[in-house]
Amino acid sequence: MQSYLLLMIGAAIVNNVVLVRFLGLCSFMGVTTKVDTAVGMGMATTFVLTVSSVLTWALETFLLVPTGLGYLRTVTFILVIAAVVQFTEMLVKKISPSLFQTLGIYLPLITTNCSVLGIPLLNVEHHHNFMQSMLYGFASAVGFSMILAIFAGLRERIALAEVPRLFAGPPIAFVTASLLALAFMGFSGISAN
Amino acid sequence: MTYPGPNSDLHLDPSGRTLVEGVAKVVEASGATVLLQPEVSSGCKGCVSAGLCGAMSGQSSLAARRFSIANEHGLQVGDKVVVGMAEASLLRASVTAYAIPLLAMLAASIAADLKFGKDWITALAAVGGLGIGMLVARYRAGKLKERGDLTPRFIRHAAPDENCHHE
Repeated sequence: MQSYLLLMIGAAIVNNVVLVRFLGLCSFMGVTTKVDTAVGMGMATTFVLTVSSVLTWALETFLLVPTGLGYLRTVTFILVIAAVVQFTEMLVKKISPSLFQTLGIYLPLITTNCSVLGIPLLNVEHHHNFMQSMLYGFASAVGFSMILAIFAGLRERIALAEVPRLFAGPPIAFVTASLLALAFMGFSGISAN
Repeated sequence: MTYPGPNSDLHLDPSGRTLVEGVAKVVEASGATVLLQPEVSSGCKGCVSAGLCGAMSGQSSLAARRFSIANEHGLQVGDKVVVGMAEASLLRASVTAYAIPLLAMLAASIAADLKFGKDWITALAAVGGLGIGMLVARYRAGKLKERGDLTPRFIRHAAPDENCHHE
């Protein structure tokens, strides 16, 4: 149990998917103008990333490794992720059409989020078992969501501040992101994972 | 006609709750209700993958997200309006759709892993947990809909050049 906890802390904070691995930067800059959109995107990404981690583990273990098709891993995983996103969209629509109208906008964006492909590939690289794959995917996504929410909060405050004209907009956002990444570097070395 | 700015106190509903705003266009007006189609969000427009993304690929995905509201303000086809939804409702909707099934899946997997310690049993438990979580989510979504939490409300007419992002 303790090893799972360490794995999750390592994935969410120490090796944060955005600020340490620099994955998913498009969503990070694109949807963090408001906290509410960041939270919506974060939750959708958490769901898709966790389910993708589980499915890609099953594919890797029961299909790609036994048949020696490891060289098709990346292509297969991309297909799985696209299918999971489509499945999630259909599912939310089925559970509640009202929910789909409210939250559906975030789902297609996840297909182009490279962290959703990166984490299953890291699961394979680290030889994680089922439980480790699922928790690693979940914790990485929680770390991603946490950073989206923090950064969106910072950008909402910056929007009210007087920023020099040359720094207004994306430049000050990148400066803020780099300072946030520096802060997260303080966690490096805490866990081997 | 005057258009209140984005920092107007209309960001709050009558009970003082913060609203999440979006811009939508009236596509159909029939009697007491109007059908609205949301505009593409700022997140989509800013993304380098916008051209490839399903959210931007034509009218079909936007048409799927059409919603109706009561026409208490004499809206006509082609009108651009700002609609809002309570921030807390959006959070509740996200929790219902994503967090409940996910947490059920995680709980079932952890329990199975602690009890049996075999990957295939844990995987089966995860699928079962996800299914149960979805049933709970469906029930809760029904409750939210009954309370009217998932229905956006009209806030004001939008300025002609107004879109989802004010900054």
